[in-house]
Amino acid sequence: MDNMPGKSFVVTSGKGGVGKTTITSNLGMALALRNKKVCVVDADIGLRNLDVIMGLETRVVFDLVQVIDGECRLKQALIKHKRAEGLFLLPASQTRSKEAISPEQMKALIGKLKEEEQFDYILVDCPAGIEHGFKNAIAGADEALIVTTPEVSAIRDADRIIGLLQAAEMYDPKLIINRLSLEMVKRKDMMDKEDIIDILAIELIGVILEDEQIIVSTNVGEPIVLTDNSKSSAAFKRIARRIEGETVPIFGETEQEGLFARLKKLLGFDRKEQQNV
Amino acid sequence: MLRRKPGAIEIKGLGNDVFIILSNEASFSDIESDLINRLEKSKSFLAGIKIVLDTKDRILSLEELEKLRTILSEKFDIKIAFVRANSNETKEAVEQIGWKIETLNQESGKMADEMADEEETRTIIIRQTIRSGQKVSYPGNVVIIGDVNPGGEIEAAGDIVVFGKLRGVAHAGINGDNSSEIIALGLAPLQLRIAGIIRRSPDSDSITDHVPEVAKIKDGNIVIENLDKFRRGDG
Repeated sequence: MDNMPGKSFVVTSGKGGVGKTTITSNLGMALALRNKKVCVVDADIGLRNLDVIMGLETRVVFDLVQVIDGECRLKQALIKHKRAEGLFLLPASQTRSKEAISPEQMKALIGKLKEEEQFDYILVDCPAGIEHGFKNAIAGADEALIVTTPEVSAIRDADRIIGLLQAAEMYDPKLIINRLSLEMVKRKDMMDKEDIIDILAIELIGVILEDEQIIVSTNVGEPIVLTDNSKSSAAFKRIARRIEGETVPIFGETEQEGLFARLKKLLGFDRKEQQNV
Repeated sequence: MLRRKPGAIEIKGLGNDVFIILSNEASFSDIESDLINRLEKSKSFLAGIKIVLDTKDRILSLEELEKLRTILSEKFDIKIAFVRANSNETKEAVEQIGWKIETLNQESGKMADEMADEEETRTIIIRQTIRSGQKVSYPGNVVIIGDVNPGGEIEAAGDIVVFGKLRGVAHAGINGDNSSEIIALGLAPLQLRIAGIIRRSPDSDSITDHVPEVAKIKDGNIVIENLDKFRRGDG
């Protein structure tokens, strides 16, 4: 047990529907599988989702607004994940609005999660948009993870968010590209990761490929990280390692799975080539 | 004695007014600490008087302005006559916080003239990528060392030079100067405007390797020329 203070991340994108909530839940799980104590916080007050995606909907009793209003203790509102020892969820309120809390209160709450509850990592799932909810979500964050998909509008919004984070003195956000389709990149129907980085000019911390399995996993409320033989699961685990400061090279994301690669896989020589996303 | 780095703020008397001028380059925390240090020293003659806050081209958030207000009015009992701001984002935030924005009749005519003379030939250098939603507006020439991303905007009374890729909107010669030019290492803007003329990018989105180019007005249209050719032709 070390006494390093915990680290808080906000997972944000500007645009809705790019996968913030899925990424928050899977990264939380991936970090918890590395024996860290992790709290995922749903800051999308009024549009609660994170509990559903994590399969914890039925266990929600108290929420974040009630903790802030002093209607319950912080410990009472934290829900332990059924599949991981160190993973906890702090759910959002479904009935209140984002204006029910202030950035200062959010900051104090994150501080409490670090100090009183001794979490190693706190991941805050940010609502879409750049208004009050966004300001709440970034208030207590030490660092930001920006999620984008390879679409012009998502990249435009991510760019706007990076500018707003600068204004809030958060200068070094990391980028996660979600739903990259190698097929489409090869056909030149989709921007490649280099094109995206060229515009956003921030450090890439992970690429998650288009994967139907993710939709299945979010619908049944089981983070895909718990599935062993999935490309996406491996990608999330690598992001978790990078968050922990390990150097895991990002290469091979855009390699097409060709005949040769498939042959190698068949013969069991696929160790690194296929999985380094 | 340690040499002081260039101040994050400047306090100046101009005409009958006292100006507090914020540096464009310094970090906000430097501004805060510098402001407190400097005011601490000149407390005796500044307390109770009205000053002009010149934010220059800084983009200040509401929170940052609130911090400034706490320092100025609560800590040092200084009142703000009005705020001078070039950035529209800052202007919006200033309005939200309830301070007055400088309008022309608020400053003495003589000073406005002096400032205008000075500003026409002035050039601002910004070492930052201008991202979506950010806008730089300046009454002189603007040099950006960085990219201008789609959704970002540059406005200048004079020329605009982008040492990077110009992918957003640039408007040179906002006050009607037809000889203004827009120069970029990579010119792929959504729209170019010089004085009163607008040119938008072709709808076919051909992604090519961009070379340094210059946009200027020729025969009433905005034309784009290779920067090399332009230089050879001129010299």
